[in-house]
Amino acid sequence: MSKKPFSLVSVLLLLAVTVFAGGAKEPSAAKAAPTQPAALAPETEDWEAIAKAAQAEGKVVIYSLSSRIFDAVKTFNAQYPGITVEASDMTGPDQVEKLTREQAAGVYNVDVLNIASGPTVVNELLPKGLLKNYVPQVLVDGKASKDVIPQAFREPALVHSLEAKVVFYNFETYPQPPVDSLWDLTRPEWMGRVQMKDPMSTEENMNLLQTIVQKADLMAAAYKEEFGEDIKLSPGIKNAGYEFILRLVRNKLVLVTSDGTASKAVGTAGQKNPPLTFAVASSKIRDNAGGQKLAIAWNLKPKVGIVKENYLLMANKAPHPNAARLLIRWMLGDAKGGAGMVPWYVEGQWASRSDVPPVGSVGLGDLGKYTWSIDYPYVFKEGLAVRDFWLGL
Amino acid sequence: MADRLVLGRLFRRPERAWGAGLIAVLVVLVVIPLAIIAVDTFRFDESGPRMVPGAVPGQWTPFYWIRVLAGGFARSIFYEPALHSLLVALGMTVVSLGLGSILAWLAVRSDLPWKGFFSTVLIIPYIVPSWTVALAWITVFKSARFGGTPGLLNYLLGVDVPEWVAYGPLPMIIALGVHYVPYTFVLVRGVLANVDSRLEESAELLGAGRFEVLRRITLPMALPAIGSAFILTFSKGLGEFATQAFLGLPLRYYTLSTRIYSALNNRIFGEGYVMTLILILSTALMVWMNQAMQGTRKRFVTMEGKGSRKKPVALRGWRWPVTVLVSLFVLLFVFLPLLLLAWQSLMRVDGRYGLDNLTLHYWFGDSNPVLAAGQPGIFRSPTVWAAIRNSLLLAAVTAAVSGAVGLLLGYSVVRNRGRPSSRILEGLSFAPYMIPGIAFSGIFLTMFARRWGPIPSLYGTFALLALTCITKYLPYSSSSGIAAVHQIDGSLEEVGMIHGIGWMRRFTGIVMPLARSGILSAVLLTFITTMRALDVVVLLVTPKTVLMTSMIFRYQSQDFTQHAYAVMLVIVFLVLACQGILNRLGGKMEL
Repeated sequence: MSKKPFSLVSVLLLLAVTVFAGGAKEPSAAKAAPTQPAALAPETEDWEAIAKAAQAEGKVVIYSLSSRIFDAVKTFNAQYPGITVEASDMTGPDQVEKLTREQAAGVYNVDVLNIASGPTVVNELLPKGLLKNYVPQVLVDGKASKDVIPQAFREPALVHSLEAKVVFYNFETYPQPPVDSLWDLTRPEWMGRVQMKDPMSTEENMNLLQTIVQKADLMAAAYKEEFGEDIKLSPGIKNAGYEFILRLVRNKLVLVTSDGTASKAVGTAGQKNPPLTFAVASSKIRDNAGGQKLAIAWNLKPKVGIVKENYLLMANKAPHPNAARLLIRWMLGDAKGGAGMVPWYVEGQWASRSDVPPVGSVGLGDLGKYTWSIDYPYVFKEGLAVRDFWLGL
Repeated sequence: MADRLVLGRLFRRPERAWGAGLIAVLVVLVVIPLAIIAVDTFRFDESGPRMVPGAVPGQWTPFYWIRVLAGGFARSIFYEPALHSLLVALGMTVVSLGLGSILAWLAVRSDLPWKGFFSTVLIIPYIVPSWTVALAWITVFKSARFGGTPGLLNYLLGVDVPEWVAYGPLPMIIALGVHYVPYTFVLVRGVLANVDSRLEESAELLGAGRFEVLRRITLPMALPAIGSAFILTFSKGLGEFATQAFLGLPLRYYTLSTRIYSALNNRIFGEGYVMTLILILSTALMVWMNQAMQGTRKRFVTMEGKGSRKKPVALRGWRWPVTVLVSLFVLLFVFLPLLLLAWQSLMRVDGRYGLDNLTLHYWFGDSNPVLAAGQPGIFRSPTVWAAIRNSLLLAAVTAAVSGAVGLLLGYSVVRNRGRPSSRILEGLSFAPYMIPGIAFSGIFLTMFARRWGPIPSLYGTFALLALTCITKYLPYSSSSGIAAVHQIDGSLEEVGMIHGIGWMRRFTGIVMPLARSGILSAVLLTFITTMRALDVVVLLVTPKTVLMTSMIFRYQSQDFTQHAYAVMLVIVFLVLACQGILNRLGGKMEL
């Protein structure tokens, strides 16, 4: 064992370092201050100048909620050799935590965030200035962003793509959708046969429940349409939205740890009584290539689910602002879903550019017909009541 | 016993000096994070204004404590999950400690055949993530009601297994219990290896039956280690998240850890931190009780100056039945889950169990756009190679440093028993165990992102990763260090003192060799745990310091199941290889 000297030395080192550190704990954050952000290009964007400045910066750091970022990095590198992209894939909550911690400590490490977590982004990070909204005026194919990206996707935060959280069924067992109303999910024949990822650990699933509560009137109308009579609320229940959640849970809703588990339960071929599930459309439809039998029950009343935004935002005091702008523009892609958009141009996901044709049958413009969009100020302010209601069930 | 010679002078007792030094270090690394957490439970966080009209973030308030402990939701936020947690943790501890101790005794003291083989493979359930056993369980017991591929029992016999068999506390206890068998196995094995078999033989000569020897000699001697193994396992059971979520959620069976996770994930820190603190306090209470028990009970020193010998206990007629049982356990709980992992890493299309569906593509294949969106096999990815290098380095550094610190700490704690500093040191070294990984690394990120006197900003460095892991996993080594030094008779060192042998030589010549097997066990556990760490490192990893677990996370989040399982198997292989090396180093472990 030749470890002895080494271990003793390391202990002493650790000791020394930390003891000294304890004594000299004056804040010296200034020393850790980042390189000053280079001046941003003028009002009218000069992409040549930006690209040149970006080359000088030589690097750009991005946190992304999707590992598909690594595919986008490849195409970006081919387009702009000389700019290294340092990409990390992290869940939304982890990104928020890391960004908040870093900036609180005076570290400005990241340039671009590809993040969902709408309630926190829109209500907390943007107003506090931890994130900045930056929309390129002209996109890679020369189109003006204000012409092709709807305003709702430019303000208050630039939307990169949209994903839907919707009800899936097995199209092998059911050639036609077996349900036509959300209220069907509370019927006895679906008892114990509806699954979803635990809303307590997944923001967007809680957002779905919160939106259902917000749209209680529509839920009440859908109830009447389905059962031909007005809904009778259970004692202590405030509205049809809460009533739906209550009945869904009483109907033995099965909670699981991931969308993948739920969608496999639904989509596995050769089943007699497959369940239904709420899951993210984009990543699940893809598995149909491998023989999975997943289909979306688009025509559910009042809506089939919610749509959530994935943002593309710049961090406060981004150390490589020009490279960041270049990367953001690249990731927004062109009118064919090409360039930096390719990894996200899949069925069940929509580019925020309205001129990009959809991969599946439903286009960006039709999304509102089938789904609710999340009202972030509402879910942020009122949503905790729904969370508490869920806790008490 | 150790204080028979009263030597007040410090230079003869340098462990007091480094004991004080260690306390200072731990105050910085443990007390400050804990204090931050504790203070935060009394202040409104960003969610405050949304929960209480008029609240201002940062404002002092007992709100979160009241909400968790006495509010209208206290039952569902706290009391019910706490009961569930206690039940599961207690159950799994009984399972793992029972099985682990028996297996350790068989492996060290009996004439069980193929000991080396059993000792090696028994580590495996701890290397693979805890939910692997859970996954195997579900694969067998799932009822058709839950959809997807039917469970094996359902498929073969057509029986619909009751849902309390498939989900809920029972499978949690079994899956977690099995997962932690290696953990208790390693801890107890390290101690038993040090017990002089002549004690047992003398008892036998005096007419004691084999079970009496076990009950009255072996067990009491192993008790300090079993005690600390109990606490380590029990607290692990309280904190374990993945398996409890996987097996509990379908029946909405919540535990404290699933509640904490959801609170932190939803950025309702106050709520999450209150529950975290309660966990920490209850663990501290257990550590204290363990100490108190060890203080009042006779301590058994098992290593003294005379030569010791180890003669295996003959199992006689029991030999083959026991071998069959152990083999069955290994087959069902070690190889079956591993086989499932391996098989699933070889499936061209996920979930189809057929020989025609097997491929090595996800291991060695070049990018093929039809499979896994063009993701090449793991060994074709430079990132995976970098991750392998980083993970090995991190695990080795963490294990070596915390092993060394653990031994010094254990020495200081045991030789100063009765002094308050001993108690403080033991308590401090244990505290990081209960802080949830994500909260812990978040605080470290803030603390060390800026420059502190002579320490430069550690942001994004390997050093920060190592420091975090060392602190977080110190409890493994410190508890083993304490248990190991416990067994060494102070008179051995006194002999050295009388002969005027300096402290350094005494320590390296007497204490270290005798404590080696116990410490090496802890080093092994730390190594494995670091190789598997994810929540502790997730905020600290940068593209340059990517780890194997972050690769698994990355593959899984994209549903590249085969890649994820392949990387997991690489971890298993690496750990087993390193275990082999460690066994060579610790030749005395007599495996």
